[in-house]
Amino acid sequence: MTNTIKLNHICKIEGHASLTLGIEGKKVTTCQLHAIEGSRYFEGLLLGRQFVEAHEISSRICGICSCGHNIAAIQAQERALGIQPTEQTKLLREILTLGERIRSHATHLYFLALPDYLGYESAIAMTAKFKNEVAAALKLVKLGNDMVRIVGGRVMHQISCTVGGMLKIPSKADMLELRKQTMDCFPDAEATLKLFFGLQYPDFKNESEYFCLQEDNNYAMHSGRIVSKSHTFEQEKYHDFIKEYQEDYATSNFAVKADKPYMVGSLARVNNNFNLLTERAKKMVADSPYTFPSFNPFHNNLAQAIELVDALDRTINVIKKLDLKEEKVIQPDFKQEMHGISAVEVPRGTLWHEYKCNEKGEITFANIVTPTCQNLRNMEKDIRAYVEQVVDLPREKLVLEVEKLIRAYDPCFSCSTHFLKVKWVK
Amino acid sequence: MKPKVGVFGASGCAGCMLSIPFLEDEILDIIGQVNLLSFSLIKGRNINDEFDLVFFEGVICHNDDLEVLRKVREKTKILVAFGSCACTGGIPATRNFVDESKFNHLRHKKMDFIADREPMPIDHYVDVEYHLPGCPPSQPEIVRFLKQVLLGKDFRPFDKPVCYECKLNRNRCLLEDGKICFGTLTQGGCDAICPNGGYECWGCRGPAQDVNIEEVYTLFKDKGIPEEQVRNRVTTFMGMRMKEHDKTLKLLRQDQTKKQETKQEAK
Repeated sequence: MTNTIKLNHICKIEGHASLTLGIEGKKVTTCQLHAIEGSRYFEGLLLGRQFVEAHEISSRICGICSCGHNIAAIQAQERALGIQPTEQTKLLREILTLGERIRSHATHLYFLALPDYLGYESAIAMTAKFKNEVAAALKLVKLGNDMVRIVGGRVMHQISCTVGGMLKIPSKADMLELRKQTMDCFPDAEATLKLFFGLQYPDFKNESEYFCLQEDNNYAMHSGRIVSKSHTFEQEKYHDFIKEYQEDYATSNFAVKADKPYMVGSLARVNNNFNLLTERAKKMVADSPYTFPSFNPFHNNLAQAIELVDALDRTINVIKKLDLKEEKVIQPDFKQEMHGISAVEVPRGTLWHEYKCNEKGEITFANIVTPTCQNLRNMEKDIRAYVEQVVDLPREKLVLEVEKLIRAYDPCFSCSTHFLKVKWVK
Repeated sequence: MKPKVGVFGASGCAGCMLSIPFLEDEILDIIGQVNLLSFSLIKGRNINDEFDLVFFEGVICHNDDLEVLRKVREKTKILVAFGSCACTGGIPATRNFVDESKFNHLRHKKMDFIADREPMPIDHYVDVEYHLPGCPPSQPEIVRFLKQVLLGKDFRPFDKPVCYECKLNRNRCLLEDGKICFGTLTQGGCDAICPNGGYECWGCRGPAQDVNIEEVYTLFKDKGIPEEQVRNRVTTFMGMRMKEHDKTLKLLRQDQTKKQETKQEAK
């Protein structure tokens, strides 16, 4: 007899999703993760619009990754137009990506993941007993938000980034203040990592193919090649590896490599680029009982906490390199049909934006592949394996464990809801 | 008794509801003042009881969205359309003015189309007590709103356009630079945050009172900007609200509605 478990409207994730699990004896026969978001057809709405409007519209795909969508769209356009942004522009964009990473990881770790491990229904319920932790969380979220606000002009859906540069350059005084604020947050970031080193993670291993951007001398965020254990390719070549794919039970995308799922996100980045983390982050891992690469998907939370420490260090380094001055925005010049692709490492993994435009500067093609849609298949794979491992647990406990695993991935179903299907062929 | 509060979302980017926990300095005070019964983004246990106050994010674009909205409306004293999607239909509602051929290829081939609806702001289906517009809503405005409403007072939206606030902030006028800035058209209350950052206003807060859209088209025409570009921009955030002021938009919308009806009949 098949025992069916249906989780409707999974909580503490971005967007709406549910899961159908069929279990026969000790075997999982069905595992379907449904994104139940309405379709917003962003890639269709962009057609015919001005090329330089793309980043403003596509940033609305996701609130928590709005900077990532914004920068990915702008970089794709700049690559199409042959515009090389200045060093200062690149550094300011790095602060945006780091700020977004800090606020997103802090939000996810403390508000969405931690209550599971401490046995609370929410971080709000934790406030009485875990006052310091909640205070640290809010302080880190504030740091990330302030970074985005100061450089991007607004906390959500930032406004200052544009094709060819920045519309507004923050003041040196603001940057000094930001540096001070970042320094103040180190104890909180380190405490976060120690807290997550101290949690009990389920004993579960299921190796995946881990994909992320990689550069030789930098923990890559905006540029580089795409790597995994067995693949390396340039960003422009992603069509050679990815083909469209559809499922009949979900409104979101699934990306599959040679019909094998793969994983993107913090764990993929830490697994592939561990040596490029900052010394402080590496030392803290060395002093802990954990080693990387790790094949336990629950360690994605650990990887996020490691990236939190790393991101603070990196923010200080970027601010040090900045010598802010007014710069003119490089104006686009549309002469012929153009085509650009950009991948960006956003909090949840590698985000792809691709655009084509005609000689009038109108968008003729748009394709956006979000991290969660790439991870969905891998989540299903891990859920299957994990459920079979813990199948004897009482049902209520089993459901909580499955939710915990889904949340470990930090999925965002707002993003993953669009209809261009992706399939890996190589 | 503390007021019972809920935060719900239809289809959207979750950015509006995230703006609430992102009020890092105020959030603990706010939570202390209310009984937060339902907020599935950050809570595991969500109770669907009667609510005194509900923030509702997102656009209604499939049947589940509508079902949630109607249920919430029945149980809620003060329902707030929260953010652009809920107030004006936001970017997803741009679709109501473009030809289906632009997005038909994105439809899910294997899934039932019936679940998909034309994206609408929430007050298309139910009455709402307040609108807090913006993509995202202004955080100071959220705090001001909460203070007023939790004290049992009425909340009055800012009644002047963005242009007014922008002038007070002594920004350089972006119209002078030939940018498609909708500061004159758009309801203020955001402190002109986009022009403050050097970026033109896209009208995410919806039209201001007594807008003269024809005059705005003439203004941009004189600057050599094609009318189609300006109109596309109008549809981006406030098409569903502006169609009452803009004859061409109204016709575009009627055209789309007619096509939908023909399709329904054919079925």
